[in-house]
Amino acid sequence: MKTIGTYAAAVKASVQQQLTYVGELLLRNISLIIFMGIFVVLWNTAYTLGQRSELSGYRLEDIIWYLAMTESILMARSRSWMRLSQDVRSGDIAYNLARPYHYPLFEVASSLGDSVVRLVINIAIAGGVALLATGQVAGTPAGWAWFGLMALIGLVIDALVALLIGLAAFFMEEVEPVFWIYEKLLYTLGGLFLPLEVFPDAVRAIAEWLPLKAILYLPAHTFVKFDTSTALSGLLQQLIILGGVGLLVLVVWPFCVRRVTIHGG
Amino acid sequence: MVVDALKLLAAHLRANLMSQLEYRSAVVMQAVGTILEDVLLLFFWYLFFSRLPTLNGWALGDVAVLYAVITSGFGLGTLICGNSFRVASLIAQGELDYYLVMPTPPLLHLLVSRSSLSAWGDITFGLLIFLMGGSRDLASLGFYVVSVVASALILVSFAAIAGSLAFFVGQAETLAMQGLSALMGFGMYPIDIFPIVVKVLLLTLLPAGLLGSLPAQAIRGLDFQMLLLVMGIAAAFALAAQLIFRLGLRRYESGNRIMPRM
Repeated sequence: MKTIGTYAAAVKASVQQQLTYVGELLLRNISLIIFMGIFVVLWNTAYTLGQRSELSGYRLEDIIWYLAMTESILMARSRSWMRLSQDVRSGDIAYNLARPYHYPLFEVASSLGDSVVRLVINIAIAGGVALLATGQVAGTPAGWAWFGLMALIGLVIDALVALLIGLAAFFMEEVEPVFWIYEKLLYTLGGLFLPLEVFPDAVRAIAEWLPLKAILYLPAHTFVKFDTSTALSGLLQQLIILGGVGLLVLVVWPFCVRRVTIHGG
Repeated sequence: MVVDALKLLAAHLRANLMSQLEYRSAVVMQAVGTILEDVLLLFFWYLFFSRLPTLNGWALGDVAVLYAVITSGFGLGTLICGNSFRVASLIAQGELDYYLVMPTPPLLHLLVSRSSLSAWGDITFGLLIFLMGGSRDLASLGFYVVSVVASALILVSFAAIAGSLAFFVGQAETLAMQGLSALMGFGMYPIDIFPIVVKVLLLTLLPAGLLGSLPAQAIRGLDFQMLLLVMGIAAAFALAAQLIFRLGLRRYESGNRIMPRM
């Protein structure tokens, strides 16, 4: 229990830190409003000009709310990989290794604390834009609850992937480009802009096999197309992917620690 | 005066390139990463147009030309003026003193003092996409080169203007970054999808439409008048950046920060 308490305290500290700078957080959300605005216009134009009432089962309102949810998760992600890679390169990671906790787990807990506050603010803002654009609040109470749970699991998976990218600094000089590529894969094959059902068949088959879908697509898809079996299937997929990525972190971490050389001083 | 400015620009570009050559693997990694990143962004449009073949007159080929111009323009701007996005923080931290005591134009000197490593990736991607897009005749290539220069000039000028807000409001880093993020965000989409009021905004106060959309239309139609318009507005933005920076300098209070420059 004491161990769980350590990580719970990390989550709490990050939440408090984020709440201290809530004004700054709101200012940063201007870009969220801009991107939502651009995509509302883009999809309005596409549906109107194409004289479509739906696209692969998504009505205009569905796709706008889907986007609001994926954007809310995307913008809630913590950028802990940056701090981690800097710690690795500067050698500061040695201090963290001496502390009485499992460093990767502590980082994930801190990330989650950062992300929770951002997620709530993002949903309020992106949801507000979606409400203005569609004139309706999408989802059912159960759909909202499942979305909350699945978004948090998605953020934990993302924090673990970010951790792996940060740890790549043990083996590579520059990890920033790896993060850029991961981010853009999330934008496209991860289903940020378009649900996977809209993809051409061959691309969809690839995207369905990638773990990226667990971060944005599965929570947003469950929200928009909610029924209990869809939610359960999505959650199961997320838990399998979470287990896989978590296991990878636990396997890779000891190799990274062995590469740390402490000279004292 | 123009010759002196060009000499300063050339000297810094040379020094920055030599500095980059010291970190070859980092440059290659950043460039490859940037190219893949740009490819993935364009991949979104491939997915989009696979379902909806045209969007208010824009097809995949047109968006590819837009991307060719905006990515190369961004690359050129950040290669030569790598400090563009740091103007606000340099002002807020009182780091302008170094540039003010030099016998060179302070804004230009500040902008060219740094170069982006990832810029090579954007320039290469833009050129490759342009050449692969089928527009390989000399006239189109000429239009493309001029468009890229104008796009870079608009980006750098807008960044300098946004950064200069720090003279007037103090901490303007977040504000400047949000402005630049909006500029690039809108710039990556065809201007014709937006309603007329937004279009006007994107061609004036937030000149995102001039970064890629209008140049792409000029290149696709070999429309010289439109190209001239883009060049004219780019020159006006450069002038405005210079004027606003000078106005702001009157309000600048030097810091007492002592730091080595190597």
